[in-house]
Amino acid sequence: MFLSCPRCQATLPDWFLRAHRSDTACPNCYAKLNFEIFPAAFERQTLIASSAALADEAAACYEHQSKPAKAICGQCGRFICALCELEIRGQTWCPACLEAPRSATIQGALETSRTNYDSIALALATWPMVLFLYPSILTAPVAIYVALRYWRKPLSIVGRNRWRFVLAISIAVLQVSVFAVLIVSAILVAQWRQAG
Amino acid sequence: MKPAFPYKRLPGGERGFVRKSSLWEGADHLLLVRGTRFNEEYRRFNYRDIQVVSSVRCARAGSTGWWLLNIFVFFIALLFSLTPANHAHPYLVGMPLLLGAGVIARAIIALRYSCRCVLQTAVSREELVPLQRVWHATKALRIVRQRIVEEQGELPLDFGTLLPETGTKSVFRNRNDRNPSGVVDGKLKGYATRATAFAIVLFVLMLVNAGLSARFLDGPTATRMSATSRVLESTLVLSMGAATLFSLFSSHRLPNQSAMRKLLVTALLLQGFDVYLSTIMGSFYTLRQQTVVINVPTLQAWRWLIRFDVCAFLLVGAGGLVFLLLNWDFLRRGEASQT
Repeated sequence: MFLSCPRCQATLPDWFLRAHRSDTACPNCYAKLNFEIFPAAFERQTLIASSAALADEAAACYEHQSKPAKAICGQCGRFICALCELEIRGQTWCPACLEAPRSATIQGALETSRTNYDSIALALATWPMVLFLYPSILTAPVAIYVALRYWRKPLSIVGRNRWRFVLAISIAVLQVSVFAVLIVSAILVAQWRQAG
Repeated sequence: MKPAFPYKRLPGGERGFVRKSSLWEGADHLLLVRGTRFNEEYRRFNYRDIQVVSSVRCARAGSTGWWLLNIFVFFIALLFSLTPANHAHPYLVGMPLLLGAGVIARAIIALRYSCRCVLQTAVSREELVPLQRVWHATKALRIVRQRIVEEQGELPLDFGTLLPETGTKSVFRNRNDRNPSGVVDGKLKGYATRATAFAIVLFVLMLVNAGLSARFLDGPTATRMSATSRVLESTLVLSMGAATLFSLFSSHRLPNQSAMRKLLVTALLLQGFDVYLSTIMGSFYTLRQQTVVINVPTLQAWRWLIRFDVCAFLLVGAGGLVFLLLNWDFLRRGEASQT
């Protein structure tokens, strides 16, 4: 196991690691360094023994017939080897079950990124208005479309409600109304002048 | 019934104009959220897999956008306060002092109370970007450590016996070795960082000075400089001089930064000329207009001198900033500049 200084990336010597919980200076960049090592640093990879179903030495993995089974999928009950075994939130999954449509809970546990459509809609509704005003005649309808189109899309996994969508729609509708009134007024005034 | 929200937000966070990041405590893992206003990326670290948590005190500027905004607003307020028409409004004069104090406070926090935290597992080494300030890192890491210990337990006192002999030696360089690549050891990197930081301050102030001097391009007028304006301009001149000297003092220990030293000496000479010019010009501004007798050739000469002063400050200030930006990584590490 190697430990390196977060500042200068220098690999720290063995005696540094043995300090366990050190509050000292990096020997390379002299920065005040604090670190703590945990038991996981010394754990060997162990094969997980499962229930009596795996006691049969002849049991083979469902996907890899030449490999011995080491676990049982918690969803479908298939025998799987260490390579196929996937542990998510304390449950054992096989690749086939993982590829199948899954619950929102598991989906949230696997996702690595999400797009914040509510922020996009709000930006489309507000930024052009603040910066230049006139482009909002184009961006306001786009903001309404984005808000309605992605209303049901899951938001951030760290908790967001849909107030940005609501605000974006409100502002965009207001902008569209104002522009509509201005355009209609201009037409009516032009007609009145023409008639006069 | 709606399920309980599975995460609890930990202290700290980064929220710039574009980037943002946050750290969340889950039931069995730590969640790092990074991204922009429109996109988020998630990294999960199971408590049972975390091997090492390390942190180091170092300078962290934080969001560049907020820095630029603070400095921009400060200079706008400064220009407003220096306009003679605004001198009747005391808050306009006091505003730049307040904003300047805010910028300085931000700089002190960035330099003295910032840190970098890294989390290490068997397969990854990830910086915890939201933990950039010491007080946030202290609280957050205390909580994280508690969760890790709950999951993994504590190391035994004699854990050193568990550690295999890897023969790892520190990679820091022997100072007696001549290093042809020009890379300097850690202590000199501190000097390099300080020299670069003071140089940035100097060149920004030079641009400000050029802007302020541009007011006099039309030649001496009847406007008298108020005491506040004189104090602010004197502060500006003294700050430039101090920044130059500190930067020179820090960089003279670095053998590979002769280009930056030449730039600093040029800046120092220019400031000396500016001080001389201001002193001479000051004699005009202590006189009332009706008593000033300025013959035309002298006025033209002064105007040309002011033009030269403004252009020289603009050139050296902007050129210095461009030079620093192009060689940022090398200068901060104390290495020779590449341009």
